[in-house]
Amino acid sequence: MPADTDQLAANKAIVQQLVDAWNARDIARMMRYWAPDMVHHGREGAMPAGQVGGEMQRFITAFPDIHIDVEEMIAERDLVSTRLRVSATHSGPYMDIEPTGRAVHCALMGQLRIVDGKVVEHWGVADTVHLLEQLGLIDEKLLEATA
Amino acid sequence: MNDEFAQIKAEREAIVRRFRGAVLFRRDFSAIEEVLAPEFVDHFAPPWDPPGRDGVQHRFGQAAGALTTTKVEVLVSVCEGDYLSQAIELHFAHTGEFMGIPATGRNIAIGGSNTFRFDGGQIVEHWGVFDVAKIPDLLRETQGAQGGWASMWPSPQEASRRS
Repeated sequence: MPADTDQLAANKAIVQQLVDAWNARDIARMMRYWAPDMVHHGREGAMPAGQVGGEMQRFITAFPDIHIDVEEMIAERDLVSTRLRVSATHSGPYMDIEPTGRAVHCALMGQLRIVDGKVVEHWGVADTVHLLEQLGLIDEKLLEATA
Repeated sequence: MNDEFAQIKAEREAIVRRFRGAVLFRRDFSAIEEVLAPEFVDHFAPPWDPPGRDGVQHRFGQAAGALTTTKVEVLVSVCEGDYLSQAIELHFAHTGEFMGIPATGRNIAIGGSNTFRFDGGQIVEHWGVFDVAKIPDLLRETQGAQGGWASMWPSPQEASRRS
């Protein structure tokens, strides 16, 4: 079914362009790929589109050299699943944590629903324990006891 | 979506559901050898765990007493080629000490994401992340600066001295 295959490739290309905009730290460019009524399902539950820009800005302030590598994309119908590797230096306050100046890497896995070239829904989960561990905020003993 | 693809996707979802049911709900670890191929690789496993299937059994055994899984909700499921990827919500009851916090009996839920690579009816590779850092926040009475992680970590000055 070539038409379907084309659609999957087009949706993957949208995700890659969104990642490229992240790597340019260009929020206005990122917002072009978000539908006005999009919903972001993050760690604090569903976040409406109006708050997503502010959340991205907070993240970029904390990690201004953020770089995202796409490790894998899987597409079906209007969905693209992503496995990303995020690299950044913790240079600003993040989640009440003062900047540590540390370089961190974090796996970020998510799924996006794309309609007419725009993201209408996003689910995302980061490897938060690994991130806090690299920031030096988790006692190694606790980590080994719960891994 | 053709019928053959729909059938393959449904079969894979059933295999994952059966695996979660056996390992998480019934503590039946025989499903590990049945569902995971001998050459199975868990890519985001902690480096100090045993490799492959042994590590999977080790991890499921370890957290089992502290957090009793009550539900695994599949939010979205994506299938292409050899892969099945799912956004999930894991529901737990806090039934034992976890990260230094004694059992509270509370019911909590965290987000997760799994990608499986299949070879026939078996899983040969897995990538998974779970928002484990949210658990202490959910178990504490108060969150943010007065509770959760913030009450467990030292000040950044102390942290940098320690490492």
